Amino acid sequence: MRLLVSSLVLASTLGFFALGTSAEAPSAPVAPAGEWTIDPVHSTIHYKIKHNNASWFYGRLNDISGSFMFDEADPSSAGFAVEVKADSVDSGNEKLDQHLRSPDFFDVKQFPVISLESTSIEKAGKGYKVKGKLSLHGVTKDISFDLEHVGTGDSRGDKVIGFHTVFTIDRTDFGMDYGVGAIGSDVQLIVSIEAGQQ
Amino acid sequence: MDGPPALLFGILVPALVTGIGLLLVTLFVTERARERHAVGAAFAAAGFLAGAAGLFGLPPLPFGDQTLTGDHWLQWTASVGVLILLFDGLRPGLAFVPRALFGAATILGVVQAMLRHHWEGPEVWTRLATLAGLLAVLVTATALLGRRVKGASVPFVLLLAATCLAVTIGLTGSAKLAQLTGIVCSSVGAAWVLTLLRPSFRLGGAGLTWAVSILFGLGLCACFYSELPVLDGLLLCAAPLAPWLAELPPLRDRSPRLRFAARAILCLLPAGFAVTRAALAFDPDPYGDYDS
Repeated sequence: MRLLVSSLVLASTLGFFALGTSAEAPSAPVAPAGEWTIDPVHSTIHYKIKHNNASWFYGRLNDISGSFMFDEADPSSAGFAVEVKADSVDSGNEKLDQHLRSPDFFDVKQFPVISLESTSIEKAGKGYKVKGKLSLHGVTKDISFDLEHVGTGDSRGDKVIGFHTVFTIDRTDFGMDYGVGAIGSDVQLIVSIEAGQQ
Repeated sequence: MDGPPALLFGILVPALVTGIGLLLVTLFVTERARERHAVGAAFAAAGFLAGAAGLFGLPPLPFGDQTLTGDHWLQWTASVGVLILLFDGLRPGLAFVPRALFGAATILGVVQAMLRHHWEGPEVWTRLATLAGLLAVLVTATALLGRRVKGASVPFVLLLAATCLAVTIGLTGSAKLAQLTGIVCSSVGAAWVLTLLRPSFRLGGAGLTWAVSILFGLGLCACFYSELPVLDGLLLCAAPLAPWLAELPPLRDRSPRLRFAARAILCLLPAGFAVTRAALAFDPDPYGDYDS
């Protein structure tokens, strides 16, 4: 009988501490280290640009692909390469899309791919500081931005991971200077990436 | 760039550079020396460079950090590549060599992106040979017509064809390519005015080769990278060839003034058809009820 009571007390105590521990530190699951492939369906790139000095215009780039290495314990070993098909630019208006695909803007027949490749990733606060090379419209420029690790989860038994960033580029730095004045030169990119482990 | 600055750099500057340059040369240099040193090509190129640099700035340097577009290559060919054409008049029997080299430079520059991203396999050679053949026919026919027909007629025909090309390119989708074509129009227009003022002046084989090759390159840029339909491109290619019909009976035996008009009309038939097609397809309000 004593043995039974002792066992129950011990089990309750252990259970209490286990619950207590879990309540005190609700940390996100650690992402397993390894190579991840971007999920093109659940990844989005939106752009935001000033129009007629009057409003913000939002559009999307739809066709995203790429992969990255990520090890939460050793961010410096991480790296990624993302490609976006320039002809997937989507303003919600087919005629405007045609103009955006023309030599006046993205010039998609001459520059079909937009690419972003990391050169260094460092832990910075709760997120990461990324330096990389953005190739757009035939011009490659060094850029840097803050990257947020949104979370890690499961999808149909597979691990998934998500990142988010917002940064601004000057389109004239990339030789896209059509309509500057009526159309802003600063373009804010809002990037949200979901990837599954390979 | 648009409005008055576009008119200044797109029309006035190239016309003044080409026109004043050629006028000074006709005043102080003999006709033979002008032909020998390809001054028509040199000043047309100088006018183009001044206009294009004023409108768009200098194009990025080849083989640098930036990948050049077809029209960037064309600007380099038009301005620096013209040095090849300066050898045009040195050995008249070998004029085809610099002309072929200039034509090859024009085509290879324009199709860089097609070679990199779109064309592959044996079809590359077929396409390149077709383009080279077409340009060779255009250059040879125009140069021969220029030698056969003295006076303002051939520069005027070229001006008509170039203007129709600029309008068609503008209507089918690219403002920048239309402006570049407009700059060529302006240079050719200045040469035409000079032929009216000084009948002894001729644009010469090198000058005609420069203008036809650069216009052909601009047409290729519009076909490959913008929305110029191939049929319109072919109609515009036919425009400088059609005036040859005025050299056949019964027009051949008519008065010079009538043949001048006939050449212009023959040029305008295919070119005007291309402009009309582009105008009919043009949507003046492309984004529905809202502007850009």
